[in-house]
Amino acid sequence: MTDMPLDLAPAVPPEAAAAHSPGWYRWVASVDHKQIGIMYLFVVLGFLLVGGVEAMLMRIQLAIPNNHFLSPEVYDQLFTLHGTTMIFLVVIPLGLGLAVYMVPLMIGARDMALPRLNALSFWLTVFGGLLLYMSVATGHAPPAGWFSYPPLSEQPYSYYPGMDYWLVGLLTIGVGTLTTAINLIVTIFTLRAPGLTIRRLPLFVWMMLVDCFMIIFALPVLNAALVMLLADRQFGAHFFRPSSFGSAILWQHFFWGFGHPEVYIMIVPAWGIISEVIPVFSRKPIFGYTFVAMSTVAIALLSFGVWAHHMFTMGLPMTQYYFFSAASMLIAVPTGVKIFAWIGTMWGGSIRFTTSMLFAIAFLIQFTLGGLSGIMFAAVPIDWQLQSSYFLVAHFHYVLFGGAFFGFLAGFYYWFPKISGRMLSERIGKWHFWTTVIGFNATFMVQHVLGMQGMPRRVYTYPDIPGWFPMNLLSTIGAAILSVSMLFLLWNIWRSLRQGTVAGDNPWEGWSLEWATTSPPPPHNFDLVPPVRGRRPLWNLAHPAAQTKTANVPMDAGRTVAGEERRALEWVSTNKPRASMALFLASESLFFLMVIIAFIYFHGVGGGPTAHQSLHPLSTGLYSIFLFASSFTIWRAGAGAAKEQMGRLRGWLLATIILGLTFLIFQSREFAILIHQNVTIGRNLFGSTFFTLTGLHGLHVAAGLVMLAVLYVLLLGRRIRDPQSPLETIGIYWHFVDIVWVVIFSIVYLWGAL
Amino acid sequence: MTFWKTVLLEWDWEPSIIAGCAALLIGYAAASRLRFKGIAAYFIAGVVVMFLALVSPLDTMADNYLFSAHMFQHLLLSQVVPPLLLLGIPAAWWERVLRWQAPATAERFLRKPVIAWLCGIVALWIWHWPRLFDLALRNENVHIFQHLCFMVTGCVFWWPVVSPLPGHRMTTFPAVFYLFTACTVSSLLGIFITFASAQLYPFYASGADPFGILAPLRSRISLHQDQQFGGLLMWLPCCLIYATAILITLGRWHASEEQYGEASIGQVPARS
Repeated sequence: MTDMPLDLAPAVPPEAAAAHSPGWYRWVASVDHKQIGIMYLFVVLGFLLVGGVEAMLMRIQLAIPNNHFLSPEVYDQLFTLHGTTMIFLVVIPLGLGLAVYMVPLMIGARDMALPRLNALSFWLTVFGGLLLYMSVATGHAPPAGWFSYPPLSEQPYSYYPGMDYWLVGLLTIGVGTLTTAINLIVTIFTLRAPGLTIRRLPLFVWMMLVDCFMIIFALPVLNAALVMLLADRQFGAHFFRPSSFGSAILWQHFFWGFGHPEVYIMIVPAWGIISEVIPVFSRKPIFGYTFVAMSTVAIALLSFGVWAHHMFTMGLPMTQYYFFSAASMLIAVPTGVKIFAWIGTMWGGSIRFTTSMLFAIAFLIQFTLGGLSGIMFAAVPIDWQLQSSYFLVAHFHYVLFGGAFFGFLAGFYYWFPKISGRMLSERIGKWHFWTTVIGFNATFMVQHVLGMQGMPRRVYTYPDIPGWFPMNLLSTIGAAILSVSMLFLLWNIWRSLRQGTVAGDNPWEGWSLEWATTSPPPPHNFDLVPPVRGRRPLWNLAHPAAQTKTANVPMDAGRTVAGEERRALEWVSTNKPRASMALFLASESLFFLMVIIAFIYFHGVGGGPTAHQSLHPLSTGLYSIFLFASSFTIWRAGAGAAKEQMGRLRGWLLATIILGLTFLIFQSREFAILIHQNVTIGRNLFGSTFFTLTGLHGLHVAAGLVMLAVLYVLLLGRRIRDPQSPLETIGIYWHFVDIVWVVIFSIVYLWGAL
Repeated sequence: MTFWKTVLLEWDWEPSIIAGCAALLIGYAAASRLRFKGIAAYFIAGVVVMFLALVSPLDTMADNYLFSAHMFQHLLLSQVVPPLLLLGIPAAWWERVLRWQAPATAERFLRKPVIAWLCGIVALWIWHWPRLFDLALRNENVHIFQHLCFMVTGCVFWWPVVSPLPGHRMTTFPAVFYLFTACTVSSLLGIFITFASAQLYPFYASGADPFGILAPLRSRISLHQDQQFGGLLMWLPCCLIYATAILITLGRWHASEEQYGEASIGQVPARS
């Protein structure tokens, strides 16, 4: 099928491929990025059906006014589950799952950089999802919405453990998401094929890179907030309880500090897919490659500074409206750049209207509509009027369903032949496409009008106001059409797997490296990776006469820009464990920052014992010396490892472990004394913030000690040949924990207590 | 006269500033022997912004009434003027200056990213420490020193990012990291000021009113709102400058691909 003159060795024979696949154990125990990617897609499909059924139940309830199909309690639980499922278990894992499958292929690598971590991340996501749905088994699913605003989500108001399952489930999913992001970044930095510089990355890979950086900086904000809410619910802390001087608004700041970047975390992978699909089916390179790549960075940066626009109706100080409104509107600029770049790519191209391309075009139109209503919400007065109405429901469904999900469907139709080796039926695909478009727009277009007329969202029913019943009925009919469209998708997949046409290597005549291998790819992905001379390696290969400018520029041996890039990235691109630890710690520093901010924010608020009365900076400062000294000993251990003096290495390592343990013992003693004086996590805000902050740090010390102990035992048993790399990685972690303690000590004990 | 008219007419024609700005422009004209290149526009813009920041009603408001105006003035002096001035000076001049021993040594030390970053950020944090800030407002000499300090540390901070000498600039990824961390840390200061419930800078609450506009001013913007405005200026617009610099740095690097492509090797096994 391929028309590229690829001079590659023959693909792996089919028998070998067959030996690779059978047996459920092969899948569960797999560390192959392709199998994990496929499992992601299946799990997402499962949760998509569950979330879809939840949505359908809600639409049935809303089909007629004053309906009693669902009780208010069940309705609340359903919309909480629907939102949480679709965001954390469908859209995010869909983007990450596709990336886990495609990114190594697109950069010409054999697997992800850390295959076992890859499997761990996937299973964490699965188990997080199961934990969330465990709440249904208790009979009381979480009822507080996907945003879980306190005090509604606090103990007396959400009494049942559904809320706790929500918190723990989300934490688990959050860790899985974070580790996948780290893994993808390290993969992209370390495993690119020769010649594939970062500036030549396919746009999907580039956007996943940006996306993963956003995950690294956004997820810890949520995780910190989840831990605090969990402390409130489980240990009686006071972070978000207004009744004991806590701040419900602080949760909203934290939640949307995560939640707004989150919107882009969901949509950026879809943008990447669109940037692959549209050029290939328009037979033109992307228009404005650099602008598309840079506008994504611009949006990623801006997205961290606009969260307060989710809180315009919360009574923020007047001054904040001006800034957050203006900053939110700014996002329209880079988004517009993208839309025009995609239209410019299609302009004058010879467009093939495959199902994939149709979904991409529908994405363009619907996403633009969602974007435009988004700009309306950036204007404070409009936001006040519409924020709690169905207009907002329509807006974010246009962005997330009409935008992100349509983008993923485009990508699914585009890459399915590569994943399965068989084509999806175009005929059923078009049925799928048209039912989805009609169903989607019928469901949500009319909700704009309902919102304008004041129909409130999050409410289980509505009075019989003239005009509302037919519009709601239309919306429900649209949802039913959407359900039917899902059947087309399932039928298409099932049919294709059984009797679809064989796809061949490159059915769409794509340009990126994934099309250079067989469909499905062999376990090792590539026999040989073709040479990469530009942004469209397979096109360059097919057109050797068309020289890029590269050939004419003499390579300056000393300082080419490419050489600079390599040097600048050397630290992260030569050592996978070190790079992943650095990224993990970047995320951890944000996590600690959030808890520290909570401490500062609540300093001196409310009654009860204060830092000044309870803490003894001198004695804590004295036992902190043990921790600081351990930074020195681990450095000496590293020096021992570098000189291959195993005795010295073991000695200094043991000293580090003992010093760390001593610190923990003294800290436990301090905690015990405080608790004895009735200064506990549940006593007042000082207790809550102090124990959460120092306790979390103590947990980090303990985790470091476990790592060091494992390393020590392995060294004793001589099971490690080269201890230098693990030691360096753990060493970075250990120094980080020490630096965090310096900060915590200065803020809690010096600024807070003196 | 209306309130705004009164405010807009309060120009502070400080002779030292007029002389300083004029000297800068005359010096620039003399050094270029009146043959201006395009980049002269940056330099002139820098001087004009500096002049406006120090002489216009912004200065009057900053010195007497509004913390937010003062913050805006500081942002102009530390984040806008320095990069404009640096961008406006041709590389050849710098090369000539750096032929001398003393400036070359100083530059080698100061252009180290850690040093330059600390210079810029520590100055920002230290001067917004309430006591020092108040001292600058009450003592004119300290105030002049404060403004000079912002401009000098601003130049040091921006030098590794916008330096016209190619070898003296950070490479792309370190520059992105440099600006990103600066953005984070100055945001923290901004967030802290924005959300502080106490009156951090008592000078503005002292009720001094040399121009007789305090009553109409406070009816438009309360003391607390003023402080929030200042914090927000530090937080969002300041970060926007860093973000723009990140985008320009990254965008330039990204667009230069076709010229400096890496040579490719033939067919190779996939990396793992």
